Amino acid sequence: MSFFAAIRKLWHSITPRSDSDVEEEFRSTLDAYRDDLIRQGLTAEEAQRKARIDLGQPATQNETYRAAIGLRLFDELGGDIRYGLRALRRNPGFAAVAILSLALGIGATTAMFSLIYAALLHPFPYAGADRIMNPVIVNEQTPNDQQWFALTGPQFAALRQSAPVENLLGFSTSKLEVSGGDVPEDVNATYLTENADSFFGVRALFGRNIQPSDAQRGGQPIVVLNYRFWQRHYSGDPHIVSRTLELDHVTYTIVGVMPRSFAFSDTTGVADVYLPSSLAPRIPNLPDMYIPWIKLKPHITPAAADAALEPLVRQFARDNARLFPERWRLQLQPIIVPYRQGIGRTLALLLSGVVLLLIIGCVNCSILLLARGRARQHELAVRAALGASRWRIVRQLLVEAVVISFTGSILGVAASYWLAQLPMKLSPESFPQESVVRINLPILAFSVALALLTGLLFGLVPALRLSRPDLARTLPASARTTASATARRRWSALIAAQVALTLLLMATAGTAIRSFLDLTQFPLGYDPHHVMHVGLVLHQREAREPDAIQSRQVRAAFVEQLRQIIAAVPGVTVAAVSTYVTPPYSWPEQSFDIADDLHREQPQAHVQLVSPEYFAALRIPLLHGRIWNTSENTRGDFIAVVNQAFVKRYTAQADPLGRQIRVPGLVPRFPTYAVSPQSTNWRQIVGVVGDARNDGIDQPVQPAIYLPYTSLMPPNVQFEVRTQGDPLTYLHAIRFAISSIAHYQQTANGVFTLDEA
Amino acid sequence: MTSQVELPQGTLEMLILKAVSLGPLHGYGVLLRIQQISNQRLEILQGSFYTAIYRLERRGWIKGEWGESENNRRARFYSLTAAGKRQLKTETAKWTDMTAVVASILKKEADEI
Repeated sequence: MSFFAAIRKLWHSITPRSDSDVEEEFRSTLDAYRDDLIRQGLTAEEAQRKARIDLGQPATQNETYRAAIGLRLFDELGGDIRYGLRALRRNPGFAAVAILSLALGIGATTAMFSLIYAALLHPFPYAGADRIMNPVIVNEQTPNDQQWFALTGPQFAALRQSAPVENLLGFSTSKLEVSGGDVPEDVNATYLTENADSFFGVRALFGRNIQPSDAQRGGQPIVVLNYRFWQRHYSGDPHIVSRTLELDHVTYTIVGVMPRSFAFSDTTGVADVYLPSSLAPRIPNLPDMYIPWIKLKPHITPAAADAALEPLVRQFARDNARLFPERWRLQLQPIIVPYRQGIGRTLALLLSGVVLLLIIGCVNCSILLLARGRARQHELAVRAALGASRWRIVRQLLVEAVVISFTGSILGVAASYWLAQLPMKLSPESFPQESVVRINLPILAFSVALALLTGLLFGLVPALRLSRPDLARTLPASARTTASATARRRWSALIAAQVALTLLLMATAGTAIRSFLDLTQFPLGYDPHHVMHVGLVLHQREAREPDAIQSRQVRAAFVEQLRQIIAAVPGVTVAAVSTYVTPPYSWPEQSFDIADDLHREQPQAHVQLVSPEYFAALRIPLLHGRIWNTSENTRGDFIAVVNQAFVKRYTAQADPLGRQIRVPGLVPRFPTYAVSPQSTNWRQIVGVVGDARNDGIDQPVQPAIYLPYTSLMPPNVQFEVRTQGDPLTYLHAIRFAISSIAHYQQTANGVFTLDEA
Repeated sequence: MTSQVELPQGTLEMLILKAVSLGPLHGYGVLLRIQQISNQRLEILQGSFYTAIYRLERRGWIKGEWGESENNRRARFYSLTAAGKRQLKTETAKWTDMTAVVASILKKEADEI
């Protein structure tokens, strides 16, 4: 038999015969029988009748065929589904509400959970991140004192070979200076062993990561850039690969840029540049040291790995005894640990909030199904009277309920994907990760399962109720249901209970979600977008007048000059000074005194030393009075501005303007601090500004006092710079401007936008 | 005419197999043959005939193909497949065994027990 004939035979053996085929055959037999009967002497009509009685009706032959084959269940279910869909189309309102409430419940739940989960946990982009461990030495005498340890080359190789270790990364850090450019700049450099690419498994944004081929000494030195550094230094230029960068007067070829989510490492300081460890500077007579990060093989617990590796590390301790405390033990800590702590409670709150949302959706749906079931009593009675078995009726109602919940689930899945994209589209800067938010599959599966279960459950209840065998008795002439009084009362009670429960759930869910959003939503009180924080260390040595910077007036004038030149850079809208203030944090609380006020306890407030432009830069609104002006700024004394939290707590009754306060703590801590003559004297409050978060984003706003920065000037200064576009792109111009008046002046590399803080 | 014997369930299929084993037949032909070889003594219940045919064809014991009947009409001809042949043999053996046992039980007079 040919191949196609065989295929065709197989196909025919699987699929049922077509309707026309069956009918045609039957008719031919029927006719043959009829003809025979006629030959035997019956009339045509009698023959026809007898033939049909004996053999069957052609019209029902198909049913007989399909029943004989065993397709009956299939056909019936198909009929149920079609009927269910038709019924839904006849009641579009009911269907729409039921499906929508399920879809929204599932969609919102999954989307929100996935989004916030991803944003909260900042999951590491590294491959196998849950198996990556920091080995630490826990000092038995002071168990809270944990330290990392470094390995020599041979020790590193030995660790690499040991059983539980799948891969081993070694790194060391250093500070380098960008030379050869127009402005000097400090960078954090991290040297990585050459297996970095395979260890991290993160694809570079451009170019590549460090690879084993870079291990050759004497080859062209290469460097890989960190994302933020690339934004700062090269303004995000995409044609960056194969350009060169000069560090400490050595030229490196740029071979790649890492994506934004790659920030190695948070604990040792995020590096700006990554270099192969073979290029690390060598100190003569000292071995090269590497700090290890271990990636364990799958299915090995940290405890088991601790036990397995401890003998080896003890050997290392014998070799470098002075680096290790007297009594210690090894502990492998997953790198995820610092992020998980403190998140737990928040996450639990979030989870309960969204589960409540989900339940609301399901409850809505179930109410609708119950109500609808009740309305169909008459129809179901008719069905029973026509001969439908109880199981058949139950099955039909179940199928309809499942159709609804299934449709709702599908829509919910689609909605969750769409909803998850929404916040990213609305405010793309607020998110730390740059790529697509992954839908959290467990939550999605859970939601869908819950929805389907709801459909089944709440379809089942009316189904069982209404398919009772005594249904025929409830088939009166009228189509209205005639439930007894008690049944009706019970029913109303049930509905009332469900409505109450839904309202309660809504209220609780709303509160839970709101309080959670309060945490993440940043009602900051100030506008962090497009604002950048730039720090400078005022150079003591190379100034043209060596000790002049010590003098307060000169320093104040210098800082003001810097501020003005920054403000003059095109694209910068406001530049302000903010000593030791990094919103949303600030200097710790200080005691202060209020005149004419007797407080039982010492009043405390956050003292912030700023320039008058600070409030404009951060868009903190002025509520009463005024901000001090430039000449008052230069003087620095006798003047202060407070925030609303201050007013609420300390001057509730009277008008705060005109009250006197003083801060006795405004004295220099070190000789390098310059201080105004009357810094601790009384000051008059001249203005009240709106509250801005100053104790972290999850803590309420503390009372704050703003003073001119010239009152107390440490040897460094910070600027908050608001720009028109992305602030980091202006950094180079700003640096240039700074160096134009003080060419020796470098900016510290702690520059960041306030969005990220 | 002698009374007609009612067919126990399931035996109709066996009989159809037997009828077809004697040579391929179209539907009506099978019916006729059964009646013929049973000397008209069998009564086939309404509609059960074709149900049996469909089931046999589904299980692959008979094979149906369209062809032309003696008076040039289109008819579906059934023939026995190899599997059907095996099945017929098995069923026949089972049937004869069963009837032998039952017959011997029924034959026993009271005093032989």
